[in-house]
Amino acid sequence: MAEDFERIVREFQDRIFRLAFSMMGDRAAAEEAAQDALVRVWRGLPGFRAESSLSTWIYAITRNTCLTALRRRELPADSLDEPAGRRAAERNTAAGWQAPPTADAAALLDLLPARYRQVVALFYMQEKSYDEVARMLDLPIGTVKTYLFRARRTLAEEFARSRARQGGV
Amino acid sequence: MACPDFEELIRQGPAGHAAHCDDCRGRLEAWTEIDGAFTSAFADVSAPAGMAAAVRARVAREVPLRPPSILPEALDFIGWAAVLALAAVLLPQLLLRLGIVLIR
Repeated sequence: MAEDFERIVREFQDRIFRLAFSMMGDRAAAEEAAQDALVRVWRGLPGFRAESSLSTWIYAITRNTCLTALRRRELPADSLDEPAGRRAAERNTAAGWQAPPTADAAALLDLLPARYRQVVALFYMQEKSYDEVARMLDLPIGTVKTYLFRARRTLAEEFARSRARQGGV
Repeated sequence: MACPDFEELIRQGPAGHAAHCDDCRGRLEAWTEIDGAFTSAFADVSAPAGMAAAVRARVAREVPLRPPSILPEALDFIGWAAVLALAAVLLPQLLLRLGIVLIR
């Protein structure tokens, strides 16, 4: 069993971390949640009956671990329809997308509702694979495509508007 | 997004309709720029270097997981075997005594 777990760590640690990152919004919280998820995987491994695929099981554990961590935060989890840009400034500092490598991407993501933000981040982390994102989030692939299209459309409009404003000044 | 051809334009690239439509060209450029920003921000995100080691350390501190013990099943079997053995010894005697009583 130890070898099975070692293989899981090697094979899934990046994807578990990315899924956690897309849900938690910052690297430190994502690492903590990813570690917790892997420990839960270890505990659950003897009882894993292969009724679902291993990856489905691992992703479900990761999502549940992140949701528990988000609930544990004093701040409420993102409302699915709440544009992140309207959140309070201190909330952005505590749990927002301040961690991604470039400020531009962080600012863009902050313009999106949480459900789009998560799909967009995961899509780019997972080498633009609709299929993998759908599996990781347990969403139909059509939903992933719709969320991505709407998110990009929103961002492109915002981008074009801001350019027009700059051009007009 | 006023232009219904926009999605198709994304596939065709700037050489298509966008070359003649200022609105679509602007959006296409914005789209490309957004795509570039996210690609550079998220393309190389992977688990932190020490994460796997930290997980292994945490798992090592856990109570070692073993396959389920067969002891409860063994004790169960012994218990039922004892009950059956006792019944096998006592039941004939009981029936014998009952028969004698009935004959009398």
